[in-house]
Amino acid sequence: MLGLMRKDLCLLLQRSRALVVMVGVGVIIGFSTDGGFLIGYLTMISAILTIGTISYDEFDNGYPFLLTLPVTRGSYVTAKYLFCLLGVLAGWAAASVIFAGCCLVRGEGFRMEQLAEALAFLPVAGLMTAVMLPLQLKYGAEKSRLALAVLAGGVVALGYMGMKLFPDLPGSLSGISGAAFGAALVGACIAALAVSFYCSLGIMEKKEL
Amino acid sequence: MISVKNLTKHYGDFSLNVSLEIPEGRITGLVGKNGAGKSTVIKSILGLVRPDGGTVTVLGKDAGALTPEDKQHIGAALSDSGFSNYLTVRDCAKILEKLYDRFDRKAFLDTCARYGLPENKQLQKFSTGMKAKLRVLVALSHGAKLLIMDEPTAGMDVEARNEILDILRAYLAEAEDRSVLITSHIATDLEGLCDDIYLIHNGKILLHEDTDVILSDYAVLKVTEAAFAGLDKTYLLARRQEPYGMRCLTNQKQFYMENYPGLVIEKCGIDDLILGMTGGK
Repeated sequence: MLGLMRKDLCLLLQRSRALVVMVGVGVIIGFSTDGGFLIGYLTMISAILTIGTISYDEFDNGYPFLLTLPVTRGSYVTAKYLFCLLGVLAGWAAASVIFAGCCLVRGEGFRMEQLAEALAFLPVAGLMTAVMLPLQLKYGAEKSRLALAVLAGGVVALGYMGMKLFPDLPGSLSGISGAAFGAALVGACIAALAVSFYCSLGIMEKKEL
Repeated sequence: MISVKNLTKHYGDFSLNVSLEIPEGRITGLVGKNGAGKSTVIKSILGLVRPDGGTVTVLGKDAGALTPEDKQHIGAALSDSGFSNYLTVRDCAKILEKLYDRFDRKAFLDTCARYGLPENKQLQKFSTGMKAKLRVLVALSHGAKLLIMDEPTAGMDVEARNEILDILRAYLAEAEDRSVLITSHIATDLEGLCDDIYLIHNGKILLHEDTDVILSDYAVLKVTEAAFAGLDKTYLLARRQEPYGMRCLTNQKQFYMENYPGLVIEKCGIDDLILGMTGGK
């Protein structure tokens, strides 16, 4: 499994120019806007880049060879989830450090609410990973974009129907505290990742190569 | 090492139904035309496709249940799949080092250099022959006792093909218990390498024979219509109409040499065997 993560790291480092540009843009954003946008931007970009390593495996029919290596289909999925989540965490940490550095240079302090805001991006990126990984494994890099668009459309349609059926829902949700909302977000992320992981295991087990 | 019993797999109109055995220390060739089912057999043995029926046992275990520890003893080279083209040989070495207990990074990089594979060049800039060499060297990099090679010489010129076959011969000479299953549609590649040959056509095994026997006992008979009429056909495996009469394949060369002295009898290679048995021109 470590070998597969090493492979993903090597593939990610092939895009070192993109990583440098990403950090450069992050520094510029850090000086010009608030921390929320910077941390959100870098965390999401990290998630996209790490999830994108699947397309390298798929490209040029790489899966058959990878599964002749001393790994199982299950360890391939586990390695991919670990790599993506560690990548998200690394991106988030880098963004936080850049933002803290920008605050120091500007002579501003780092407030607690900013920390909470920064932490909120982790479960959001986790949710994104939970949705994207099984879609990429099932449909491949190209078709998964279409599948994601269909899924996003479905979520919007469900939200619209929910608003029509329960018009008082937004008002009642506004009463929920930030901490409770954060806890719900983390819970939803963990649940989504668990479901996503088992879906991905099933997809890989059934995959004919 | 490998036991395939009544393996069946269906893809649309194509049906595979094969049985084969590869004992320890044996180099077995699987030959056949494109689309005959060679790659499906290889993928079933590697657990990459699920059989519709039958059993595939590798190193004493069901192919679908091979563990990473079992795979430490298997080296595979597939014709159409390998490391990402965005990686370099150095990256491959780093990855293999994490995966195989017996991988020797320095030896691997030295061997790659010896065969002209640059360490820091992306694989996408490699020629077809260089990529094929790398796939073979990767399969040989961890002392595997079972090698499974699907068309390792496909798309290569004769010099590069010979180089790959030499690499394989050198590896096999290091230990007698190493077994190989190798497929190719270039049968001459296998004549000097394999102990025995399976011929597959339309998803079925048409013939299994020792390579020495094929080369010594099999022959192509070229006969006129008149001579064919008087020929004992007991030992003819296949026949085909030609402008001069009949072209026949036999596994009893000596019988026809002794009993029909005037007959045109030619040596049979594996290519002749494929053509004769599969009705090719």
